[in-house]
Parts: sequence; C-alpha cells; structure tokens
Amino acid sequence: MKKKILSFALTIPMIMMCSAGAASAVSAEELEGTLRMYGPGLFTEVGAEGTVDIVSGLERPGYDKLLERWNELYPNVKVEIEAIPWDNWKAAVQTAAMSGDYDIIIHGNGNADFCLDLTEYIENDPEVKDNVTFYPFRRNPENFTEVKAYGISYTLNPIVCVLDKQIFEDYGVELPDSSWTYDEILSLAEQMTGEDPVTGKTTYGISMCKAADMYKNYKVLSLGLNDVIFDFSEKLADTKVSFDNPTTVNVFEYIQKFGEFSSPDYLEGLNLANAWTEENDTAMTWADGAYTIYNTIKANGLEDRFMFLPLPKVAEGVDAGRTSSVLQDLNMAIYKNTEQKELAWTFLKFMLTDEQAQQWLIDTFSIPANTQYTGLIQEAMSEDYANAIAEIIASNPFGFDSSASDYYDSTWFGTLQSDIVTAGDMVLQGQSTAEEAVANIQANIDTYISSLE
Amino acid sequence: MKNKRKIRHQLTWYSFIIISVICLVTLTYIPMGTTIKYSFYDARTLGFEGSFNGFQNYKVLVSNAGFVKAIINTFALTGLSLLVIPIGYIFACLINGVRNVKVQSLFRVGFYMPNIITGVSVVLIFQVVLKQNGGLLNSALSALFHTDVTVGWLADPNYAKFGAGILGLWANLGYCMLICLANLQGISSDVSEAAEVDGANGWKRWLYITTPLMKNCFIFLFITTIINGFSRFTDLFIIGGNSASGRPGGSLQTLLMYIYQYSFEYPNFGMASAGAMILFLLTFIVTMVNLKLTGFFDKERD
Repeated sequence: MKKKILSFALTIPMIMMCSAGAASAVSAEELEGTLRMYGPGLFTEVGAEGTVDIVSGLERPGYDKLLERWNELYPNVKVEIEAIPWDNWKAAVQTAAMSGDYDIIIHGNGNADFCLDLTEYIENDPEVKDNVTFYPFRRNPENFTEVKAYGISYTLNPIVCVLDKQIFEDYGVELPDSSWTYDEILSLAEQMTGEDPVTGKTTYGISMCKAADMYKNYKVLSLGLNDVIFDFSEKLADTKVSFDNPTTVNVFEYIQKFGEFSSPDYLEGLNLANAWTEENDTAMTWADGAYTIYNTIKANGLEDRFMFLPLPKVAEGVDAGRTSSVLQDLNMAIYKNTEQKELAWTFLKFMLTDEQAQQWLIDTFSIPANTQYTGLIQEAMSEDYANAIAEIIASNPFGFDSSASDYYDSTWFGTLQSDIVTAGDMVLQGQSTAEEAVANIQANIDTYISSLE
Repeated sequence: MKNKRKIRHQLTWYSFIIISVICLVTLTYIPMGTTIKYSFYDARTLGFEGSFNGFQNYKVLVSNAGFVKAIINTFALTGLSLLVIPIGYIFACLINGVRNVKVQSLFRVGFYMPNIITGVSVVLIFQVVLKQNGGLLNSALSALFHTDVTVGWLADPNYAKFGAGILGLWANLGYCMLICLANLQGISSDVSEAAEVDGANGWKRWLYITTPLMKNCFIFLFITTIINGFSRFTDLFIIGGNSASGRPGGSLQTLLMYIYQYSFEYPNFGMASAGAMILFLLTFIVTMVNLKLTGFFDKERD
C-alpha cells in the first residue's frame, strides 16, 4: 500500500511536469510573428555568417547560428536583424526607433524616450532577476532620482588589469592579488619603471586605459575612491554636482602620478604596439575588451606570461569591498510602442538565459551577463584570466552602471565626458594641476546646469 | 492664348531643372531650415519636438569655455592652413618654370599625390613622422642641431597645432599648387614680355606682374581654404584617438568637433544646431570680409 501511495505521489508531479513542459512547448510553438531588430554591437561584428579574427585566426559564428537555435524553440517567430556599425549609432537608433519599424533596439537602452521600462518584466521573472548583477540602468527623465532598466545586457565587458608576470619576476616583485589598493599599484608601477634587471630593456610600470578613453580611468578611480559627485533631484536643473571636491582632485592626482610611470607612447596617445607580445614593456596595463586581449595573448603563445587581475576594491561607502573594475556591456531594449512587447521580451530573455545562446556568446568571444553561465568563461580561458573576470562579475557593485551612478554620467551634463578626457590629458601632460582640472570641469558643469534653470 | 503658349514654353524649360530644384530644396534647404528651428529648441531625441527655449542654446554655448576654446582653435588652425597658399604658389611658379613637359607633369602628379591618399593613411603616416620620441622630424632636427629634440608635435598641447598645421600643409599643398599652376598658365605672356622689353628682370616681373594677376586665384583659394579649415574634422578626430575631444588637451578640438559631440556622442540636437548656426555665421562673416577687402563687390558693380 505504501508503495502504491508513494508511486502515486511521484506520478502526479511527474505528469504535471510533463504536461507543463508540453504546455510550454505548445505555447512556444504557438507564438507567431516577426521581430525586427536594429542597432550596433556584436551582431554587426560577427555578421550573419560569422567572421575570422584577423589577429588570432579564430572563427566566430554568425548570428544565423543563434537564430537557428531561436527557431528550434520558436519556429513561428521570425527574427530580422539589421546590424549597423558604431558610427553615429545614437542618432541612427533614434531614427530607427522613431520609424516604428523595429521591436528591439540593440544598444538603445540609453534613451528613455523610446525604450520600454523593463522593471516589471525583470521583477516578475526570477530566471532573469536572480542571475543578473549588471543592468544597463538609465535615469528616468521624468524624475532624475529614479534609476530604471530600459534594457537588458546580454554580454559584459569588464575593465581588467593585465599583468606581465615576466616583468614582475625580473624585478623580483611579488605578484599582487585582488586585495590590492591604488597606492600599491602606484608603488608597484614605480618599482618596475626603469631598466629591467634581467633583459636590460626599459620597462614601464603602468598604462591606464588609452588616453582618448581617459573617462574610463576616471570612472574606475572615482568608483574605487567612492567619489560621489551627484546629488540628484527630480529635476535635472536642481541637481547638485560637487565635482570640485578633494576626492575628485585625488582621482586626477592618481592619473597624474600613474602617468609618471607610463611609456612615452602611452602619453602621446599612440597605440601600444607591443602590448600582449613578446616585446611588451609595461608591467600593468588597464584595458577593456578582455576576451580579445586573451585571444591575442593566446595567439602569441604567451598565456603563461600574462594574467588578468581585477582593479582594487571600492575603498568605502555603500559599495565598499566590491570591485572598482567597471563593467561595460552590450544591451538590448524594447521599443516602447511596439505591439509585440511580450514577444520582444521573450527574445531578450532567450538571449540572457538559453544555454545554447550563452554558448554562442562564448563562441563569439563575448562574456555572458548571466552569472549562471560564468562557468563557460572558466571552460574557455585558463584560470589566470577567467578567475579575474568571474570575480569582477560576481563582485560588481549590484546594479552599478556608470551612466546611472552617483560617480559619473555621460548623458545629462553636456560635454562632461569629453571635458574629463581633455582635463585628464592636460594633467598627464603636466599642463595643468589636478586642482585646475577639477575646477575647470566644475565651471563647465555649473554653466550647463544654470542653462537648464 | 499667347500668354498660355508662353507659359507652356517656359514650363518646358523649367521642367529640365525641376528635379534639381526639388533635390536642392529637400536635401539642402529643408534640413537647413530644420537646423535653424532646432537651434531654438531643447531637442534631445530626433522626432520628438522638444521644447522651445529661445536663445538658451546659444547662450549656453557662448558661455562655455570649451566652445570658446574650440572657436579659437578653429581660427588658429585655419590661419595656419592659409600658409598653403603662398607655398603652393611658389611651388607652382617653380614647376611652371620647368620647360620640359614630361618633367613638369611628373612634378604636377607628384605634388598632387597626397590629395588622393585617404585621410586616415595620411594621419597614420604623420603620427610616425611627428612622434615625440624617435619621430622622423625630431630625429632630423636632432641631427641638424646636434641636440636631442623631443617636441611632441601631436602630443604636446603647446605644439599640437603646429603639428596639425604641418599635416594639413602636406595634404593640401598639391591641390593649391595645381590651382595656382592652372592660373599661371592662363596668364597672357604679352604683359610680361612688354615688361621684359622695358628692362624688368625676372624677379620684378614675378613680383609686379605675375603675382598681382593671380589675385582672383588667391581669393578663390583663400575662401575655399577658410571654409575647409572651419570644417576640419577627420584628421584631427583620428589624431585624438577617434575622439572628438580634440586631444591633446583639447588643443585640436575644432568647432565642428565640438558640434559633433552634441550630435552623436551626447545627443542634444538643439545645442548641435545652435553650434552649426554659429559656425555658419562665422564662415559667412569671414567670407564677406574677405570679399570686401579684396574688392570683389566693386568688380561686380563695374
């Protein structure tokens, strides 16, 4: 009797699960329509049929592979992708959205005017909510104190520090771990700038992200030093910006000091031609595009020579102890007036949660945003590289997005991003002090905000 | 009846230009009108009307230190680029003096060659030539002056305009030379021969006869060089590492690059349109002043 009851008890849920599975399969098959997507990013890079990486010779599958998988699950939903290059993409996606011809705007999350607020979708979907630490948040233009997800990131791009273990060894300097601080980076950079004791070649301590991307260095350092500059109000015009504060001065002082241990080519803004090669002359290099760097290192047969490390942890504040290795992303948004919102969300969720879609991302040398699949990175890269990426994704300040943080903004304050590049450059060149740089930027922000009143 | 026939006859002729007129209106004048309109609006997203804010965009721009610096940079770079006219003229005179047609053709093609090389390649070449450490120019200067010259021609904000000037000069010299050469060869030799009979030497004939006769050519080159200078973008954008911030230190940020930021990097089409209107006004004023000073309008009246 007991056996009968037990088998009955087990059979019921099994039947329910099967029927639920069948129901969901049926509902997937029942879905019909055509989803139209438009925008830049990964789909443009790989194209429909895939590409071959010119540096490493490695092949990347095209998005046709991804759509094959999609059509296995949703045979009656056709997806049409119009992939565009990055040139002038902001204006291009705006125009595309306004045409009303597209359901999904690739990398369109930056504009709340035409993108759907996905908060409710995310809240109601634990499969997404529980496995994502990074959202492409944006401020709500109706109320600037609100931060909302107008899109979903499908792949992440962390800023990492690439260490040349050979240079560390030559100078007899112990390799750091992710508990290091910015002062320690400075000290290490100083120790390894000079004549390599073993090879006799000139080496440099550090290269931050390239000078034209100085704002990325600012983002990393301002997060790391907990340099909160914004006090948002409902209206942008009432927002207080305290850029001219001692911590921001400290951020620019770090930039200036790191510059003292950088190569002349870096200071000139030239590409570091020898980076990731046998001739590499810089002990620590900050860079994004971690997967591409890894592939280049691997193609050069130098996997054992280099390693990735997250940048130091946030010193204090609400994010204390989390990494300051800022994450960047590629994302997708739903056009807010599309009639196929549910279908579009289904595709976004597919990009984020389907296992084969995650494998496609890995195959295209992209880092999945879903933490459940971080393990795929560890399968694809050796641990000296994969562990750093996994740590950055896991310890990213939850929901931190530089465009909606209290540290930095590239959208609402005029030419702030460009002003930071210019000021950082002047500081690096010794043409201006950190105090002057900060005061100049504050003046520009003040002028801009006063114009909004 | 007669009028009808006349109108029909005229319509036949006007029909030949109707497509051009429609294209001109649709692709030039309507966008120009929209730009003027947007310059008075707070317009962040294309298609959304935005709100009318009067002269606010203009006010913000002219009170922004970065914008003022961009104007100064634009004038300085344009001023430097004008050097191409006298240098191009000198080269044209030298080439014109070569009697052998084949040799002359060789020089003509040789000097014009930089114009057919893409801007990106030119910048990449000049980044090597003007490099601070081990660059070709610095190495040559070091050898010449027997001292270590390490000028950051494209890296130091104090010298970057000269570096960009050298680049611009090299890239545009051929065009300028060719226009001058064409004009030189169009000058009648009668006056020059008469002066020679009167005892004028070659130098005097060049200075007092040939050069004044090139006035119209110089006006043309002056205006086109200024317009090109004001709209300079690509090479400086690449020098800055594909950034419109005008690296190094904003010293190479032109007005167009400043406007570009508001058009494509942090979209605010109202500000971008106001910037474009200011650029248009500056170009218009400089051109008018130039035409006035060179007596262009007097000639029209004559």
